[in-house]
This record gives sequence, C-alpha cells and structure tokens, in this order.
Amino acid sequence: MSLLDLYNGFIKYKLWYALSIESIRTRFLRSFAGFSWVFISFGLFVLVKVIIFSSISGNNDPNFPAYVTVGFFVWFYVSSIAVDGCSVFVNSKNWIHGVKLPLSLFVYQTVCRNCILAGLNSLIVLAVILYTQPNLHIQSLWNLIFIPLIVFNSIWITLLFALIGARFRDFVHMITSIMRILLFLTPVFWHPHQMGKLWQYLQFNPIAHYLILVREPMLEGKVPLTSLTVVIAITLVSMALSLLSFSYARQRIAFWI
Amino acid sequence: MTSISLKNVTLAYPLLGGGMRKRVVGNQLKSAGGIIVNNNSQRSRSIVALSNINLEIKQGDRVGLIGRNGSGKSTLLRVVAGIYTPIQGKVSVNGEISSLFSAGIGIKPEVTGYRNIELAALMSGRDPKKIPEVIFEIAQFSELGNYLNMPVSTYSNGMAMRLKFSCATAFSPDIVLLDEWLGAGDESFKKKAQLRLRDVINNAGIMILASHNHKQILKECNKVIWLERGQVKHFGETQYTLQQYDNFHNVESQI
Repeated sequence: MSLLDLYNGFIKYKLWYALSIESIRTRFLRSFAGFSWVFISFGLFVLVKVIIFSSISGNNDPNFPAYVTVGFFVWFYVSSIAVDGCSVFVNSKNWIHGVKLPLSLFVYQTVCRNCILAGLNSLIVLAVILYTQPNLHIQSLWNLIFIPLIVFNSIWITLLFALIGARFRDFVHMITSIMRILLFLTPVFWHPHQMGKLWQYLQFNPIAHYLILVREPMLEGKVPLTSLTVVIAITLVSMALSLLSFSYARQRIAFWI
Repeated sequence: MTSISLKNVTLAYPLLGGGMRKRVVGNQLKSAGGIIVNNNSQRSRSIVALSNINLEIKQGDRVGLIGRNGSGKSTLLRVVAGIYTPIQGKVSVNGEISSLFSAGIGIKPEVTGYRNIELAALMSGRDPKKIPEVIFEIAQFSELGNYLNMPVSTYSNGMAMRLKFSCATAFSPDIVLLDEWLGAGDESFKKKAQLRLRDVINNAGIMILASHNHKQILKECNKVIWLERGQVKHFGETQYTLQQYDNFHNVESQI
C-alpha cells in the first residue's frame, strides 16, 4: 500500500510540480528582485567565502573558486533536503487534513522545489567556471549519473525525515543544529588533505561524500570510489528504512500532525 | 452505484505531547467532547471520537449529521473522506468524494483565484489545460470577476468560500461532504449553491451535511444521523430524528 501511495503521488507530477513552483513564488512574493534573490544570496555567499578563504590560506589555486562553488552548491542542496524533509508533513497539515491526496505527493513537492532551486544555483556554478577557467576534466560527465543518484537518494531521505519529523518534533531542531555544525566539518571551504590526520575522523561525516562525489570528477579527474560506495549505501539504507517506516506510519500521519 | 458503508468503525485520536498526561477526573458524561481513555499498556492516552459506527448510505441520500460539539461529526466526515483511518472496522466508499470542510483548506491564499482553480483541477486528477470550459464555468459560477486575477488573501471570507464551493462542486463529484458549510454566503449565493448541490445529488450522488442549524437540515436532508459521544444514537427520517434529539437534550424545538 505504501508503494501504491508512492506511485499515485508520482503520477500527479503536474500537481507537485505546480505546488513547488508556487511555494518558490510565494517565498519571493512582492519582492522586487523575485527569483533573482536565489542567485544574489548564493552568489554573494560564494564570493565572500572565496575572497576570505583564499586570503587566509594564501591559496592561489586557480581551481579554488570553482572548488568552493561546486562544494557549496552540493552542500546547499543536501542540507536543505535534510532540513526541509523534517517538516514536509507538518507544513502540509492543512492539505492532509482537508483533501485526500497521496502523502508521497508532498515528498515529491519538496524534492522538486529543492531541485528547481539547485537548478537556479547551478547557473552561478556555471558562471564561476566560465569566469575563473579551472582545469575541468572529462570525468565531469560522470555527474550525469551521480547527480541523478543524489536526487533519487533525496526522495528517500525526505520521506524518512518527514515521517520522523511528524512524530518527533525535536527532530527538525536536532537536524538544523547538526547541519549548522556540519557545515564546518564538511570539506566545502577546505581540502581534505589540509586536515592531515583529522580527516580520518572527518570522513565519517556522510555529507562530505556527496560533495566529493560531485567535485572530484570535475576538478581532479578521478571517480571517488569510496564516496560513491558511501552514497550508494546511504541510498539503499534510507530507501529500506523509509519504506518500512512509511508502511508503518502512513495511516497514522494524519493523527500525528 | 454510489454508496458509503461503515461497519463497526471505531476511531481514537492519540494524544501526543505535553499537557496530555493530566489525570482524567470526574464524570466525563457531563462534559462535551469524546471520551478520554487511558491506554495503560503504552502509558498514553487517547480520545475515542467514534465508537462502533455502523452506517449504510445509498445513492440519492441527503444526510444531515447532528450532535453536540465534540460528538464526532467532523471526525465522521473525515473518516468517510479517507483522511483518518479507523483503528477498527471497515469503511467502503464507492464514488468520487469532494469535501468542503473549511474555506482555508486546499486553497493557497498567496495565489490568484484562477491559479487556485487550476490547482483544484489538478487535485481532482484533471488537466486544467484540457478543460477550459470547466475552468470558465467555475469562474462564472463564483461571480468573482476581476478578483480571480488577484491573490485569494485579498478576498473576504465569503468570497473565498464562493471560490472553494465552486471548485469543489465543479468536477462532478459523486459524494459531497460539508462541515458547517451552507450557512455562510449571502442569500443569492446560498440559493445558487443549493441548486448546484441538488444537481450533484440528482446525478447519482450523496450529500452529508454536518450542521447545528436544524432548520437547514430539515430543508436539505431526507435522513439524519444523530451522533452522541461518538455513537450513532439514531439514524432515520429527518423530522422524527430531529424531534428525538430535541426531546433528549430538553431544548426547545428549532423546527
């Protein structure tokens, strides 16, 4: 039955696409710059970080701006999925209590919204790459597989977090604070080899591997097998856990929110 | 064949979170609301909103739903709509359901009226681009004119209700569920709404209307379900059931 819900939700793609567009529009409603705020905030953030971190470390690596931008691009997507995931059902309370719709619809809506935002951010990534001319490798094409893998993974993470977040209201606060700390423990602004021995421990941060998976083929020309294994493993585990929890909790969600 | 059937349906709301652990004192039969029960095995507590409900509602029935506050009217409507799954019993519904619970639900206030109509079409599984005449018809029926190009947040309550009602009845549903609904709206729209509902019911439909306005129920319904503390006290002919209710609660008859 929970698989049926996932299917029925998916085929209403026109609805969840429309809802995700509307939720982005609503966020920028009546603002003069509108959608441009997505670029402005992401662009400014990256710009400032590049300036600060290259002067701290005296780093003149021509790849550095692209390194930070791609890293932050992936970070932005992964962390928003984790945080938004926790409140998917809670925020859709009005709809869930009012209309009979497949619950998975709200999961797809959240993933879709974050994909659209990532799509807008990717224009900044493109601009940085065109402007700073880093040494891009042909292995970048692997991302045609890796990025869809990450998106597929995010469906299960969103569903799992949405279920936990609906039942346990501490979860969203926990994830938000963890994410705030993880930003510094994830190789967004620094390179793993700068950390020396510390990296042994830091590599247990799962988000690091999402960044490495996308970044290494582009800037270093290799496919990071360890990170690929970690991401695939997380995908399979989160898929199994979310399907199990969904079949347990599907009929209880309306009572929890 | 449109039909609704409930067999031994029991529904309990789990009580989650703080403030829910206080001991239940006194005779609950005196207070409004469902019965609060302690679930010792799980150290949790729940409200039994419906217990052991058996109902058979057939095509063409216009059913009124009466009862005190907290007697389970809204819960029963949501069980029929498939929003809440009962902990016991079986609910079988044949027919497409459209529910009018409250004006805010299923409407995005930041979005224009037209866009909300499109979203409503998508929700009922239709492609708004393929049914321009239905969209046009909703716009006409709601009589909202230029307001349809403005966000719903600029509407008055009554106007938002017009939009919601027009959307909910436009996609030829088989079953219409209304929670305290028909009372709102100005006189001319109320008339239109009643005619529209009759149409829906005549097209092999069912209506369930929860209301405290017994005059309205007498006018609109041919059967009445009387809920008392989550149980069906009586299900039968309108006038008789309303009279029984008034006698039971020692209230002066409204009708």
